[in-house]
Amino acid sequence: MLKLITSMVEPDSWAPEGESGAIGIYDGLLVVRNTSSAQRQVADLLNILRAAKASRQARGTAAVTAER
Amino acid sequence: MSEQEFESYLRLLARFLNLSGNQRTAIARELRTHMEDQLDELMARGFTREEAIQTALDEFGDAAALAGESGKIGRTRRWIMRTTTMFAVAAAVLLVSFLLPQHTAWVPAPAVTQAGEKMIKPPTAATVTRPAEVASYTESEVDRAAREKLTMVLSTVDLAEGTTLADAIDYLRLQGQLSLNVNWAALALINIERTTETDSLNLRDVKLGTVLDIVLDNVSLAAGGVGRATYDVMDGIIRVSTQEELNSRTVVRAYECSDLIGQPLTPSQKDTLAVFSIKVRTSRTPARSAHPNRPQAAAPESEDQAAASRPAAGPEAVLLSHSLPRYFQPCAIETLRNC
Repeated sequence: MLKLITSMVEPDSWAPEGESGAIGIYDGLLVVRNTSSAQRQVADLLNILRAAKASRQARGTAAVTAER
Repeated sequence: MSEQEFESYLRLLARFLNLSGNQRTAIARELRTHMEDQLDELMARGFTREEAIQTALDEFGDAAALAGESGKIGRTRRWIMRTTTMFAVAAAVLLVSFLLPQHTAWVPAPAVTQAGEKMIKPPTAATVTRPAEVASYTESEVDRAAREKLTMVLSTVDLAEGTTLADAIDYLRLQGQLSLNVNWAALALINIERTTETDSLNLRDVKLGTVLDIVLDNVSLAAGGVGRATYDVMDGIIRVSTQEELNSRTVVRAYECSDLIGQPLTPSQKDTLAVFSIKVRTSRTPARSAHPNRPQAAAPESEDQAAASRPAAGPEAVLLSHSLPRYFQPCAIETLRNC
C-alpha cells in the first residue's frame, strides 16, 4: 500500500529523498504528511482502489449468480 | 420480503445457533450487522430494498429450512455433538470470513483530520459505516468552494503579448471572483517578478485553473526555468508561489484504510470469536471419534489417499453450506470434512 501510494502520488516528494512527504500506517489508519495537493491525490487513489475492488466483487457475485 | 421477515430470520438464525444469553446476543448482533451491510451494498448497486433483502437472504440460505432440520437435532447425543460442532465451526468461519480484509461491505468511512479544518470523529469499534460513505473524501468546504471556482469555464481568454504576470493574475482574479494570493517574495527567489511577461493567450472554452497553470508555466520559463511557479488551495485561498515553498506547507491527515490493508478486530468481535473457538475446541474431539464415516486406519501416505479417505460432505455440510454466503461455502465444507 505504501509503495503504491508513494510511487503514484508525487513520487519525488516522499522521504528520504523528498522533503515534504512522510507516510505510515497506524492501526488501520493511513497517516500522511504532505501538501494539500498530494493529500487530494492520495484520497483520490484510495477511492479508485475502493471502486475497483467493489467492481471486482460485484462481478464475482454476478458470476456466481449466473452459475446458479 | 418485509422488514419483519428479515428480523424474524435473524432471530431464528440466532436461536438456531443454540446459544444463550450474551453469546447469542453477540452473535445475533454480528449477523445483523453483516446482513445490514450487505443490504446497504446491494442497494448502493441499484437494488430496491426488497430485492436487496431477498438477495441477502438467498445468500445466507433459508432459515426455515434450517429450522426444520434443527428438529432432528437431539435425536442422539452424538448427533447433537456433531451438529453443535458443525454450527460452531460454521459460525466461526462466518465471523472470520467477514472480518477478513477482502470483505469491504462493512468498512468505515475515511476520517480526515487536520488542524484548523473540520474534524471528523473516527469510527468507534461499534460503528459500521455504509460503503457509499467510504468513497467520500472530506475536503474543507472553503477549499472545495475555491477549487470549484477554478473549474469554471471561460468562453474566451485573450491575453495580449507582453501582459505581465500581475495583470494576468488580476484578470483571472476578476473573471473567477477568486480569493487569490501571490507570494511575490517567494517568486522573486526564482526570478519571477510582477512585471514578468507571459506569452499571449487566445483560448476558447477553457477552465480557469487551466489558464492559471499555463500562465504560471509561461512565466516560469520566461524567468529562466530556475524554479516553477504553481498554486495550491489552502484555507479557501488560492496561493500562488514556488513549488518548493508550497511543498513546505504540509498538512497531516489520517485516512481510514483498514478495508484496503486489513481490519483489526474490535474487542466485541474478539470476544465473539473466542466464544466460538472455545466451543469448537470442546466439542471437536468427541465429534471426530464418533464420526461414522471417518476411517480408523493409519494415516494415508499420499495426498490422493488422504483425499480419498476424507469423508464426503454429508447432508450436514450441504445444509450448512446452503446456510452460508457463497464465499464461505468451499471453506466451510472443507472445514467440516476435517472436523
